[in-house]
Amino acid sequence: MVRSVYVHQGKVETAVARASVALAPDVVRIRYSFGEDWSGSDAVFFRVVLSDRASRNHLREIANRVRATIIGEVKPDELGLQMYFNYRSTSEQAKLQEPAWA
Amino acid sequence: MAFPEDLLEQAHHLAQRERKRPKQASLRRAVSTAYYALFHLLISETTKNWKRPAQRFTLARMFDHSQMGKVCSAKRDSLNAHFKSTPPPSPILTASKHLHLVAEAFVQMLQDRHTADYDSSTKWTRTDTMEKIQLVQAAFRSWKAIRNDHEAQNFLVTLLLKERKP
Repeated sequence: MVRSVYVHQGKVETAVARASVALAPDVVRIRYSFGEDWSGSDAVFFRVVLSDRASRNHLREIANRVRATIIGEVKPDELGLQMYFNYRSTSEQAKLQEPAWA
Repeated sequence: MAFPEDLLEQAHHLAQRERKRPKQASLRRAVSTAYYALFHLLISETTKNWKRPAQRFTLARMFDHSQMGKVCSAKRDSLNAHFKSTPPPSPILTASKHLHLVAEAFVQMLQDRHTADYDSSTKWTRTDTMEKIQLVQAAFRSWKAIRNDHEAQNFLVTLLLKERKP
């Protein structure tokens, strides 16, 4: 059986590229990986790097926008994927230097 | 304050410790505690409906994290399908949006609790931790807005449903 994550990789890539443009400059970049969630379901895990200003001044608002924009672009229900979001600021990533977020 | 609110306040306190260099222990416990705040909010709201207060603690032990997550995931998906039909603005639609936020927050936080408690390779940041806490705070506000609504009360009782094995 072909897992849905491989089938839909291209669609997710395109959708994330569109979302990144729409969410700039508050969102600096979006990275993602496929995996299984707590229930064993196929899932996309988004790693969103925010500008320092956005993360400091309107975190909830930008997180809502990120979630709504990416869900609107990716349409996870049509792809059979769960979606999860994690965030960090540009200066936090500069300190941690994690390749998965770069 | 009630226990769920105390947990949420404690999560916030943990997230704000070590102003300059937050310890991973503080951030991971903050995320986990924020999840448990929501978990216990939904449980306490459900068990309040049980007539005999002394039995509510026993009833509370029947709740299962994964099962609650599956119920929340299904509720979120069914509400998403309903929203796609572009229903007209109404108090019922507003209540459904609040319930959607609660269900979605539970699903996200269950995943984050797993990561915080079991995956020590993940580095948490204060931004991410605060986003999770603010998500749970929003879920608390939404729940308070709908706690007496018919749909919200129906949702609570489904949290106890278990999958039947064939």
